[in-house]
Amino acid sequence: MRSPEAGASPRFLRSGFGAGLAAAAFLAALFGSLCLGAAPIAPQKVLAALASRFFPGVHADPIAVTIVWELRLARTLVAGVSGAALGCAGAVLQGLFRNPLADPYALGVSSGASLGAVAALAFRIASPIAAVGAVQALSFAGALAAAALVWAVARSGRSRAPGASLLLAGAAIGSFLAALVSLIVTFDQRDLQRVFFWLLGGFGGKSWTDLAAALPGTTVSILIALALARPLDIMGAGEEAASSLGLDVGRTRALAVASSSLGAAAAVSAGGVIGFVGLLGPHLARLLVGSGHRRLIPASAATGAALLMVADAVARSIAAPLELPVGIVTALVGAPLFLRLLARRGPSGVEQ
Amino acid sequence: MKAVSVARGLACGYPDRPVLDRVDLELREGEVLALIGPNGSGKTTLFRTLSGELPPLGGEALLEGPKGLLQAQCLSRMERAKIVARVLQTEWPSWPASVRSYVEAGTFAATGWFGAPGAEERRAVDEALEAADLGSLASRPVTELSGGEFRRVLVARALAQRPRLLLLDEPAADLDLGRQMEVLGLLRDFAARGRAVALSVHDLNLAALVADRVALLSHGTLAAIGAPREVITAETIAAAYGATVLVGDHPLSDLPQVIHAPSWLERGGKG
Repeated sequence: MRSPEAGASPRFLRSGFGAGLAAAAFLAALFGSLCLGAAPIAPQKVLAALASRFFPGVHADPIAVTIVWELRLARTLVAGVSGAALGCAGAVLQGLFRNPLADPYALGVSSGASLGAVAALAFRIASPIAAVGAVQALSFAGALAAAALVWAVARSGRSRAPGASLLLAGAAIGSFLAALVSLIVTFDQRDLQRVFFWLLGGFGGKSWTDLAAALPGTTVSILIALALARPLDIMGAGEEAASSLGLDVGRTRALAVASSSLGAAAAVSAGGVIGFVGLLGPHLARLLVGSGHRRLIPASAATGAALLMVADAVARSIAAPLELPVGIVTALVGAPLFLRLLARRGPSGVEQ
Repeated sequence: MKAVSVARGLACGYPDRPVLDRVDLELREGEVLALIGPNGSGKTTLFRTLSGELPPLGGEALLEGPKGLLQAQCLSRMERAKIVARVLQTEWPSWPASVRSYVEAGTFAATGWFGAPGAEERRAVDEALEAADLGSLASRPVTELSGGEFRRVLVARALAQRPRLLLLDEPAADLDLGRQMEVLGLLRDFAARGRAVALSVHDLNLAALVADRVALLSHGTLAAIGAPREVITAETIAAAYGATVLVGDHPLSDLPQVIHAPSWLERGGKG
């Protein structure tokens, strides 16, 4: 049953105010992340450094300009687009499966990406695209291949519950690919440490090139997700009812899987397997703007981006000069926050 | 009376499990038809096939569209949704959407993927909320409604779809007896405006009260169809349900009403 407070969430938050709050959180996280790091920079200095590129008259500290423009802005934006893609993918899959526990990795994307990355490291595979690292390229390919395999396996059955088949195929294929990752690492331990850190995720050393590599996948994924807003609202009634309302459930499912897999693949290949952002982002967004997908999808992108930018800023400043893997921060901060949401509201006010 | 849905020699079910065979049936404008039959006799399967959701295993399931009677299978989902609306028994809400936005989903076939409800669709939603007596609940989250209230939301959403044919699975099942009469009255009004209504119902007395014709499914086929008096008799009920009942008259009309007559009463009480 629902907790008694489930309906008592402040109603003013569900209006445009909530959407504004999500956007403000995004901007605050972006700016805050530029200030924080091994060498904290005062906000006014960051502003001056940002402005100096556009207005030659603005005087800025040259060290601040270098840190902001060459080091922090690119990695912050990579973290931001990755978080946006993960938040969006989580919202899309939760809507598709009508399940608040679905996350962007539910269809085996993370295991596929891990396999690609570990294979690239262990077999010393050269990158097919010169500007992009082999780990990045192969993890992206592995993630998409895993999702395609899950899709094909789920479709090959004659199940009357195709949604459930997808989740089950995702769990099974995910475990299988994760076992292959362990197998490779067992026999080839030279790269154990690199593999370990890649799996925990991080945005250290990310450059403008990395941003350019991450942008196409995340952008296309978010655009498809935005186009799915009304169909996902209709899917909330369940597959049979949605179909009787005129919705092409098969097409909606295919587009939702394509969008979320592409977004998650782009995010994982940019920053590694970062947990919890794709689960927590949509839940925070639902608190802010309600459960209608027209607002929920963009709000999930904003909260996902804000969460990951903050996590990245914390990861690089809390033990500076040592940088923590960002996945540790998202889990350490995200899990208690998520549990607190659950305790207060139940899973997004959903009746269990 | 014009038929909106026609079944001719219809066989329906699932490839590995045929359910019904040799069904001939017309659902006509201005008429309420009650579909009765034991658990698992194929009421929902028949609705799925008539609405074009499930392909027939044999025979024909036709729907009257703008271009005349066509195989339901040949129409697109959007076209079908403009002709037939369904109320399922198994639906439950996933997210705390407001009652109003839930009912608004009924306008999806009219507006499509990217459209937002226009003035006409909003009026359809307002009328549906009013008809189902949901005006005061319009902004409540659907996850906070009682089972009976949610059932009325589903009926309202089907009305907002502005269909010519309404197919309902057990619309009265979770309602108290006051609300049952309200919803059945709503269905009678809908039929009186020239639409076709078919509902599955377990309560034979409700079937007799609401329906112009009753159709009985049993033993894999349409066992009887006709006026309530013709179909609901002690003999047909015994044959279909294996239960002993007495059938009498409603005190205010000549409609049949069914009374249980279990064996322990014949033996002289519950002792």
